[in-house]
Amino acid sequence: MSGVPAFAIVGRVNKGKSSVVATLAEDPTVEIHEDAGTTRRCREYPVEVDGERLFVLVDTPGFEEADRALAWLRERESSAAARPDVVRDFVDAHDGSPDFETECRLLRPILDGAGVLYVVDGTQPYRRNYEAEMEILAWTGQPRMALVNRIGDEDHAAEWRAALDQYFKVVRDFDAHAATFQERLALLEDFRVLRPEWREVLDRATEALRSDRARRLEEATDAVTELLLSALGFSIERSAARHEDLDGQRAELQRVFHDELRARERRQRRRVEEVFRHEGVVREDADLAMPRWDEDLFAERSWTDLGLTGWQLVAAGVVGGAAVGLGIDAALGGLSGGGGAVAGGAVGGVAGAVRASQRLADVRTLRGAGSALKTILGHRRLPTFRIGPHASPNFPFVLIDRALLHLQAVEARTHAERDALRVSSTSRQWSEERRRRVARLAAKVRAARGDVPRGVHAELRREVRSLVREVVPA
Amino acid sequence: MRIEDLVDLEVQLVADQEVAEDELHRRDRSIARGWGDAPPSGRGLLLAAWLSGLREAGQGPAVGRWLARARRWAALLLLLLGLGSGWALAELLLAYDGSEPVNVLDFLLWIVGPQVVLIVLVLVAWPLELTLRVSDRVPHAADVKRLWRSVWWGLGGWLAERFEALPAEQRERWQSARNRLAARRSLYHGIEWWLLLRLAQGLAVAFNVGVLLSMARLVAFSDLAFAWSTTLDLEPAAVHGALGALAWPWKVAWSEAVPSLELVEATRWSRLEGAFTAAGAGGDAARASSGSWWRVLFAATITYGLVPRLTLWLVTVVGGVVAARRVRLDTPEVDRVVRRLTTPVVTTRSPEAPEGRVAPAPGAVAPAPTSAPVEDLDVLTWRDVPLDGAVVDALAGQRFGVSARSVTPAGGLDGDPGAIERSLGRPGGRRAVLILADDFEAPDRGFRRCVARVRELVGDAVPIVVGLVHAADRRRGAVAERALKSWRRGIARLRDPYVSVEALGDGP
Repeated sequence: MSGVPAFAIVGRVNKGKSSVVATLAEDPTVEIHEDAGTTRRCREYPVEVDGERLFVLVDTPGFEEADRALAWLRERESSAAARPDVVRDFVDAHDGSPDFETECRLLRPILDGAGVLYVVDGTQPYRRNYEAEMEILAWTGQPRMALVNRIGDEDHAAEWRAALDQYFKVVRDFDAHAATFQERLALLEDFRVLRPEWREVLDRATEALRSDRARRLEEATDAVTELLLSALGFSIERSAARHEDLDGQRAELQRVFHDELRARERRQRRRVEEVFRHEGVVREDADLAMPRWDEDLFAERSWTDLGLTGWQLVAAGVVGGAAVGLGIDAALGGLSGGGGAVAGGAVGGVAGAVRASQRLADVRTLRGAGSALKTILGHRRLPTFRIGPHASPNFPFVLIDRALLHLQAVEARTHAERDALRVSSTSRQWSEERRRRVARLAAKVRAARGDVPRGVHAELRREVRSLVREVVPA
Repeated sequence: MRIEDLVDLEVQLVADQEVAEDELHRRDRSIARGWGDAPPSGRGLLLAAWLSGLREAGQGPAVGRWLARARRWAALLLLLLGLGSGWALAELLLAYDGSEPVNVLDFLLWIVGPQVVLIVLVLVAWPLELTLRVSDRVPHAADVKRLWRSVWWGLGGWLAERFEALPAEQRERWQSARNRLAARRSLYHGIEWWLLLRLAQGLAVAFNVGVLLSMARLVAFSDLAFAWSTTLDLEPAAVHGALGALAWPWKVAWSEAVPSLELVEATRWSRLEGAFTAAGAGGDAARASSGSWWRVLFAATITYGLVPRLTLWLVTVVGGVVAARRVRLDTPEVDRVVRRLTTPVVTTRSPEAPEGRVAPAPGAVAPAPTSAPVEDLDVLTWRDVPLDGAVVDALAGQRFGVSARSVTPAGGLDGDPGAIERSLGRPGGRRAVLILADDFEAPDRGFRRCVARVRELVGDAVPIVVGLVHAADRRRGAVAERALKSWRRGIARLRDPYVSVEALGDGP
C-alpha cells in the first residue's frame, strides 16, 4: 500500500463491514449477502479527488477463528512492545496456507499501516469471545476506532460501548443502511482523530465531498426544473390524414401525449438516480404494494394524494379569478363595490375545482379544414389537432410532489441497500404564497410552449431549488 | 466571448447532451486543472478557455471558426458585389459619348436619393418601432402581416404535411431541435440582428466606394460634361436653392463643391435643342464650367452615401461586440459547465472487479432432523452462548428427551480443545451431539472446524444437531427465519448428511 492513508474495515463475519464500505464508497458492486464469508479477499476503495488519491478504504474478509489466532499469538508473546512483530510473524507463518486464511488477509493491510475500523453489530448481544478480535487488533499497534452498526431491530449498543471503549480510541454508532450524508462526513472527521498526520488530507477529502454534494443537489435541481419546463409546455399537433380518421387520431394523440409525459418523468428520475450514483436501482416486484411515487403519473391516487387539495386549488383559482374581477371593479370606477372581485373569485374557484379533477389532457381542434388562401394556392388543408399543454392547475403540483418524493428517497438511500427504493408517504404542505408563485410560473411556462423566457426559467429554477433545499438539507 | 465562441458553445452544449455527466465532469475538470492556480476570471473568459481547451484536445467544435470564415467570405463577396454594382451604376449614369452631358439630377436621384430615404427610415422608424411598436398601430399593418403570414402558412402547411410523413423518431428529433433553437434564440437574436446589419452596411459602403472610384476614374481620365434638365417648369434659382440645401453639410469644408447660381443657370440643358439653354449668351462659359459639377456629385455621394453607411457600419461593429459581451451566460446548461469546471471530481468506488460469491454447495438444503431415540447426549455451547445448566437441560430434554451427559464450552476465549476431546471421546450407546449457538453468529470456518473435529471424535452417522437460540436479556426469543436459512446454507458446505440445523424455541 502507498503512503496514502488507509483504513481497513475489519470485524467478524456478517457484522456489516461490507455494508459500511458500500455506504462510504457509494459503490453498489460491493458484495453484500446474509450468508457468512461473502467477502473472501481484501478490496480497495480509493477516494480520489481530481485523480489524486487521498485515502483508501479496504474491505476485508471477516475474523473466523480469532480465538485460535489469539492463542497462537499469546504462546509467542514476549512483551507488549514486541506484539506487532508477533502479529507479523503470525501472518508470515500462515501466509498461503488455508489455516487462518481470512485472519492473514485482514491483518496484512493493517500491518502495512492502515488504520483500523472495527465493525460490530449493536443490535445483537455482546459476547466475551469478541474480545479475542479486539485483543488481536490492539496487538497490531495501529490506530483504531470502532463502529457500532445496526443490522437488526434490537438495541444492545450500550453493552458493546462499555467493552469497545476499553480497546478503541473512538467508538461511533453508524447505521450503514440509513446513514445520512452528514453522518458519513462525521465519520471521516473521526478518522482525523486517529492520526494527526492524516488530518490535512482528510480535511481536503471532506471539503471535496461537500463540494460534490452541493454539485449533486444543483444537478438534481436542474433535472426537476427541466422536467417541469418540458412537461408543462409540452404539446403535440397532428393533422388528420383523412377526415374519416378524426376519432381514431384523437384517441391516438391522447395516448401518445400522456405516454410521452410519463417517459419524460422517467428520464428525469433516472437522471436524479445517476446524479446520486444509484444507476440501475432495483424496483420492487409487481406483486408487492407499490410505493406511492411509483404509481403512474396519471393514476388517480397520484392526484388525490399529491399536489394540492381541492380547497387549495379553489384558493388558487380564487386568486386567479379575483384578479380578473378586480380589473372589472377598476373599470367600473369602483362602483361595483368589489363585487367584481368576489364574482371573479367565485368563477375562478369553480373553474379551478372543476379542472382539478381533470387528470388527462383533452384534444382540441386547432384549425378546421381548408382556407381561402390554401385553396388559391391549390393545396387543401386537413384538420389539425393539438393536445397540451396540460391545462389542469394541479398538474404542476403533482409533478413537483412526485419529483421531490423521489429525490428524497434517492438521496437518503445508501449504497448498502439492496431492497427496492422506499419513500415516505407524506405529501408536502404548500404555503399559500408558494402555491401562487408556482401556479403563476406554471402558467407562464405553459404559455411559452417551448420558448420559455430566460427570466421565467431562472425564477422557476430558484423556486425548485428552494423546494429541494427543504426536502434535502445541504 | 466572441461570436464564434458563442456558436461553438451552443454546438458543444448540444453535443454534450449525449454524453454521461460523469464523463463530462472528468473531461472538463482535466481541462480546468490545466489552468493551474490562475483560472480565467469571469464566465466569458472561463467558457472561452474551456472551448479552447476542448479544441486543443481535439474534441472541441470547429463550427464557430467555419462560420467566422463563412462570414468573412460573405463580407468579401458583398464587398466585391458592392464595389462592382456601385462601379457599374456609376459607369451607367456617367456615360458620356460627347453628344449629351450627364444629367446631374438623374445621378443624384439614383445614387443619393435612395440612400437618403433609407437612412431617414432607419433613423426614424427604428427607435419608433422599438419604443412604440408603431407597426401594430399603423392602419391595416396587421392585415398586411396576416396576409404575409398566410403566404408562409401556405408553404408551411405543405412543409408540415411532409413533416408529418416522417418517421416518429425523426419527427421528434426535428421538433426537439426546433424547440431548442427557439429557446436558445431568445438568447442570441440580439447578436444576429447586428451581424446581418453589419453585412448589409458593408455592402452599402462598398457600393458607395465603387461609385466614387468610377467617378474618380472618369473625371481623371476622360472629360465629362454635366448638365441638368427637367420637364418641370423650374427656375434655375429654385434648383440652386434645393442643391444649396443639399450641399449644406460640406459648405464650409469644401466650398468649391457647392454649386453656384451661375453654374446652375449656365448648365441647364435642353434635349430638344441639343444644347445648353444659355448657349446663346455665355454658352462657352457653360461648356467650360459644366465639368465643375463633378465636385458636387462627389461630395453628395460621400456625404449622403459613404459617410452614413460607414458610420452605421462602425455602429454595427461596436453594437455586435457589445451584444456579444452582454449575452447572458447564466442559463442552467452553462451553469452546469461552470460547475463541472470548478467542482473537483470525487471518486470513491473500487477499480477492481467484484470477486463474486462462492456458489452454495450442491444439495445445500440441510437434511431433516433426526428422530431416532438417543441415549447419550453431549452438549457443546458455542462461543459464550449464555445458557446455564438448567436451560441446557431443558433444551436437551425438549429436543432429545434426555438430559445432557456433558456440557462443554467450545470456541471463544474459554474454549478448551482438550475439554471437548475429553467429553466427546468417551464411548456411548446411541449418541448424539447438540451444539448450541447464537442465531446471530455465523457458521464460519471456526464453527465448521469445530463440527469437523466433533465428527472425528464421535464417528460417522452420529447425529450432530446445531441448535440455534436467540438469547438476550436473560430470555430466549424466537430464532429468525433468515438466520436459520443462512446457518443451513453454511453447514451444507460440510456435506455431512448427519449434521442438521434447528431453531430451538423461545423461553426463559
